[in-house]
Amino acid sequence: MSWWYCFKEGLDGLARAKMAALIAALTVAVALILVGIFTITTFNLVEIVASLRNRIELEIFVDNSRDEAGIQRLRRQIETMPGVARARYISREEAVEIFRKAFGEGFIDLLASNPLPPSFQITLQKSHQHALAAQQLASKLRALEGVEEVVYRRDFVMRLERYLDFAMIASLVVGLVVGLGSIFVVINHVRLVAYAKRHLIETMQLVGASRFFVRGPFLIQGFMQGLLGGGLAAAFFFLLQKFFLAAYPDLVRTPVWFMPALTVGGVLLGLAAAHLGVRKYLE
Amino acid sequence: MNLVRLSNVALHYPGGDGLKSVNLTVRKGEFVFLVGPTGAGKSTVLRMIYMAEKPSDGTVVVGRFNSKTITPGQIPLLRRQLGIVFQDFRLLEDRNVYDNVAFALIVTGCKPREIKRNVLRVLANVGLSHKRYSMPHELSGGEQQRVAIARALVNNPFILLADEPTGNLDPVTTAGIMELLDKINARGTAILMATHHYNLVEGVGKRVVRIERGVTIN
Repeated sequence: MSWWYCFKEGLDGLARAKMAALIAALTVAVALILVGIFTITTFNLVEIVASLRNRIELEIFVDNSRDEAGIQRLRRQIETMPGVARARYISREEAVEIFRKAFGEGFIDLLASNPLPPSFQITLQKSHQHALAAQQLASKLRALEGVEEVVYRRDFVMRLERYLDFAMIASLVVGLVVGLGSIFVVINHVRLVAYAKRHLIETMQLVGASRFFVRGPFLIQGFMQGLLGGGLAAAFFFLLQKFFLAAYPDLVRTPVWFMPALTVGGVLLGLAAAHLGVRKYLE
Repeated sequence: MNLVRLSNVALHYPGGDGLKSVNLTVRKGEFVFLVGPTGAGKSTVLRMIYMAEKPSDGTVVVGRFNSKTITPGQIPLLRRQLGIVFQDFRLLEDRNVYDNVAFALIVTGCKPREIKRNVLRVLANVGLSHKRYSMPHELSGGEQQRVAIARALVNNPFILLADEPTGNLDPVTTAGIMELLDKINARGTAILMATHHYNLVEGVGKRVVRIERGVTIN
């Protein structure tokens, strides 16, 4: 009886004030769309950061006079060093091919012998994909016997880190402001609705309704409005994905959990706003 | 047997005023008037009886509930044993007369068949059976107050608390409401009615408790 009453009263409340209910759902939807845009931006930024960090590579040039056994020994030493994910060996012949591809035939063929040394391309482990770790690893690698030189794009790495830090902080600040602002708008809207219904709440309490009974219908309404708002926001991003973002699959990706998360977020937002809205008028 | 007992009750508000010393009892089947000028503390006394306020000093005992020991979860249980009527009726504008009265039973988890039987009975008692499908805005002030009284009575309370129930009504309608309250009292329900209309209490043969500046004068 109690649950049924709360459910029925909640639905009746929505039916009695259709416009207010629709506005509440739209407010939830707009709030979630704003938070959603921020989430997608941050998610993609994190992806870009990961892919750019992945490009932080070290190149080790080996002493030209080192024989095959010495190179293999060096390889084993490099591969066992902490922070090294992969060491790709580039022989002298391969280096010539790379040079030819990059600069065309001619110059290298004029030389009597191959001046290019063998080298290793080092891919860093995820935990070491930052400027400080790259610098420390480079120093250790330089100390190995047979290593002529270690090069990496130090400026690129440092600049990348600066830009990414700034972008992440900016994204976080904007997201926080937008998120809190949106939640505030939703809560404020529900408070206005609760204010309009304060007599109902008061009367319910005067005739001896328990807190559960007073809150129940509002929570049902909050749930329904949140579900509708979350659904609308999810539909917005679904259509955006289908008709716009699909054209740029490499640029913008939407995580698989995004649409369900929006709907669940809408429901939670609706429930929280209803809870807070009614609380003010509960004794 | 005392249904309600307020002993040396005081309520301090930060801005002053409130109650200083209130002593009041209402016995079973009694009709008591609480009279005093506006701002004397009449409504506050009633709020203390239905435990919307707790005293700063003293004790309020209503039935088996005591203001010193009652828990928030017990307050709804107390109110289901009281009937409360206000000057401004406090009806739910978005539902009809029947639903307004039934509402008081629905929130207590009463069975549908009992709700129907009790609502029709109490509407007949206040003379509004024929208006059960009307909306509050379609009724006169006196009729709205009768609906409020019906809602207050539908739970069979041991006491009816009426806070200026005739404050918004003309003299003829006021007489009708007073007649109805008398009838309810004659059936055994105790009534505590707060009013600032001294002429209403004169010569009716009921006990009168005066309150002035937060102090009761018996």
